Amino acid sequence: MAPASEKRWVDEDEDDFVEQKTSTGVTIPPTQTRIDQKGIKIVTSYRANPSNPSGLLKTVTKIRVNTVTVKEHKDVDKRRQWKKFGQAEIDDKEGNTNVTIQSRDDIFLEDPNADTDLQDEDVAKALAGNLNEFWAKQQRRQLERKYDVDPTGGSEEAGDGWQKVGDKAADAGGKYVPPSARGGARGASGGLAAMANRLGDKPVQDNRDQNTIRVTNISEDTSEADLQALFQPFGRISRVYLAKDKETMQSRGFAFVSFVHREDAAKAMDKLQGYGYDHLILKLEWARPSAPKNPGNEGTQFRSGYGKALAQDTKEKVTFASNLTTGVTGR
Amino acid sequence: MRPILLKGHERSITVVKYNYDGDLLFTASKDHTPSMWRAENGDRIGTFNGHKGTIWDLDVDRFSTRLITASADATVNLWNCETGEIIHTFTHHGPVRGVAWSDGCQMFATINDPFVGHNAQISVYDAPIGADSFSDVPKLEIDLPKQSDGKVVKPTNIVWLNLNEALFVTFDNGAIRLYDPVTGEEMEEFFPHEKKINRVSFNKEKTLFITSSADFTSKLYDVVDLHHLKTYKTDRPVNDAVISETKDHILLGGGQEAMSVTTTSGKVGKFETRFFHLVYEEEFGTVKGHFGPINALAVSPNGLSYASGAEDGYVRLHFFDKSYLDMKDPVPEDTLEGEEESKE
Repeated sequence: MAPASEKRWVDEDEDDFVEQKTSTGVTIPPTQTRIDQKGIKIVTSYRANPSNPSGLLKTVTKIRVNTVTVKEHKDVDKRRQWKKFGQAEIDDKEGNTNVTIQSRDDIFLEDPNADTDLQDEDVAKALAGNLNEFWAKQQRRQLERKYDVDPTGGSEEAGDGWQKVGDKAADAGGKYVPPSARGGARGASGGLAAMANRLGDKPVQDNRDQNTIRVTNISEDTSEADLQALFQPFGRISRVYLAKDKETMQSRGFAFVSFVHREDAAKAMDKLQGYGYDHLILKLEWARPSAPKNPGNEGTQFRSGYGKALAQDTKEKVTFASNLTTGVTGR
Repeated sequence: MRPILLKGHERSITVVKYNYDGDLLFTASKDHTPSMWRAENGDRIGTFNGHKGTIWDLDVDRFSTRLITASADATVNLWNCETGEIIHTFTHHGPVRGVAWSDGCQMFATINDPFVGHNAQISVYDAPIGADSFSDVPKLEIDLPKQSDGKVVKPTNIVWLNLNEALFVTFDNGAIRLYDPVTGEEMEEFFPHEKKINRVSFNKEKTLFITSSADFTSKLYDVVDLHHLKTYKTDRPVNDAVISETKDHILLGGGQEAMSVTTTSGKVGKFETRFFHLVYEEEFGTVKGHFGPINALAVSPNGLSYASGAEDGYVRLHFFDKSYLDMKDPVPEDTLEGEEESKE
């Protein structure tokens, strides 16, 4: 609502009111303005009714007037009258207005402890990723030892085999074998190693997944900050991730919200399921655990970039590659 | 919040200060002209033309009538705030690093770096309100000779303590000394930091002060017994830290040193203003925006806005969102949970 003190162009005729008549000769009464005891300004105005020539349309506008009183020292008011000097005076004369600029970007007080690991450029995150991989490796080795899987015959060999798949592929007509195909081969080949691998992966998996809500049917204008604001009341949020198109940077209409505590997430789920937000109705569900980031396992199966939405033709490639590896490991 | 950018300076900002009532904002930079702005809308009121060197510090008196500026051209200028005219120029022996009005604004103190044959020096000048003529000879001079190990110590900041009981001076070796403003005797010396103290700032009542140091920390002290209260740890040199006037918050500004800025990308440059809780020492927020390390911070006395000046030459005037102003202070989580989190 426009501040009351500001005169809008629609109100301009108010002061010098001249009696107006509609085309049919009905006198239009002047606009009335009064302020009631609650401080609400009521403006009553009339205009010709296009559908009923002999009648009038009455418009009543109610405006809440908020008056903010600020106490300040009388010197402050005196200082308001100070004339400009120096460069400011020159700028004023020349009409130079590019010294003070209202920033167009909205800037927020960001939570430094929030999980920002979805920005790939982030160095700290890359480091954390490396560490995760490192731990995964450690865990796997431990399990191998525990279940007495021979690392030389098992996973290490598979690792070796990997390399050789590439080599073999190069030999076999110099065709490039995509990493996913190689991985699939690896999964298919060393049964024990793959098992150890899968076992090894588990403990490393972030328990964050369990506290994550997948929110779908979000309007395109919704920003991460909006979601933050929406979910904040339910508990401490560890991260908000809004899926965006890589090129256009437009929202893809779904987001993940991770809570620190699962109870908070459940609460939010309960309250916001079917909540009308910005002309759309939100749909909430628990996020499925994300695919392990192990290269060549399930990680890169969807290469259309649209997830499962588009048909995938990876099957053929996988069989093709697995044929290769049986040859390799079977030596 | 949408900050207001003040693009009045051509080189890196050295100091940003509000006046007592909080309606004016003074900024100085390595270009030679300090500026005065309206704090409510960022309008530039005037520039103070006359120095020939970097302005390292400035101070405006309690009534916002007279401004003093310390410059690397070895002068301190006394200005009329309203007109921007020089009232008097006080010549020093070396680049002047800091200036401070005393309580009552009848005199001011300056510190200057050692230069050729002269030692670093603290000087106190008389500048009574309403006076027309000023003496170029300081009424008190405190010489800061080389230390016994031959090292030169440079003063970095000077402040008058309440009732002009002592001159509070910080040094680039991490020391803080108190001097008697009448006799010039050293009253006390202690070492809150091991590296340079970039800046020190006080709360309005001058009961607390916070140091910002190149050793990546800021420390909060009690003025009365010089008792160390809190430490705020960061991962970068701290150039300025201020205590919020209305909330129990600390604002920290910093970034890597100017010489290494060009070799680091803006993303990892860590040029944000960081918000810490005064009591819990916990960082709860950051505000981004600058392209260089923040050199100077100031919170408006009414607590509704703050200004930051950086190496990139911009001053950004931020008006806090309602969500910040309404924010209740966070209760610290129990340590067990914190440990769990750090493990992840």
